[in-house]
Amino acid sequence: MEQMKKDFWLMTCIIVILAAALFYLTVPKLAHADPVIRTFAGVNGIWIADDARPADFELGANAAASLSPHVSAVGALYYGIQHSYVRGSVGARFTVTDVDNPNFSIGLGGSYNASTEPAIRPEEWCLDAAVGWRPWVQQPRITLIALGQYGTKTSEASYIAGARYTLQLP
Amino acid sequence: MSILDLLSKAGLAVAELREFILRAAALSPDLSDQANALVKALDAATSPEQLAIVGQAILAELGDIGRGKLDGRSHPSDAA
Repeated sequence: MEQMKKDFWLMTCIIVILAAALFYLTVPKLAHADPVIRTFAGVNGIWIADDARPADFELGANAAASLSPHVSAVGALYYGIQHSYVRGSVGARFTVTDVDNPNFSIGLGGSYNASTEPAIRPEEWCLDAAVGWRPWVQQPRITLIALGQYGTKTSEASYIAGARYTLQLP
Repeated sequence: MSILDLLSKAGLAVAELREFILRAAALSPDLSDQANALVKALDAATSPEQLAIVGQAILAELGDIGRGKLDGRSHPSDAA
């Protein structure tokens, strides 16, 4: 049953990623405009509540579709290395800083988080506060991020700090 | 959940992120300047006045999105 659940999540994420790529490649307006959809490979440390030690380290990917100067759709898919879980999230993010600054931004929003191990990563809607920073001009593909989430069901806070590498779509 | 509940929980997420940044900076004195600048930027960006301005812009942009008028940007925080 557990393996079936993990397989289901893996297939769902593969389908979502392929759908996003197909959407980007086939919609002419988006294909010729500045890239609306961006994908990133990522690595995170994740902390739960007030624990000083990270609860886990994660590897995975993010995708973001910037629809307007302030409004983006965001998604993530990550694998927790120590506890062997897969978690995914989909949501909306609103940029509250200078929308024309490509090197630093703060975003607020919400997302639905789900995972193969709800006991470790609860399945719930979360309120998000995110920071992104590209500190090195000579390495524009590298972004440092921090994300604070507050679970609406568990009333529990969690935090992610990590790095992203922007993947270039054709 | 009411709008007020949502806003208060969003404020909690910001407060938690703020606390996390300060705790991380406490691990190394070299990080404290950057952390303080980051917290200052976070506080300025999430002040009620700033959020009201951004909220108005977002309402207008949602209308544009509904009409299929897309105008994307590159936001590092979207990668989080």
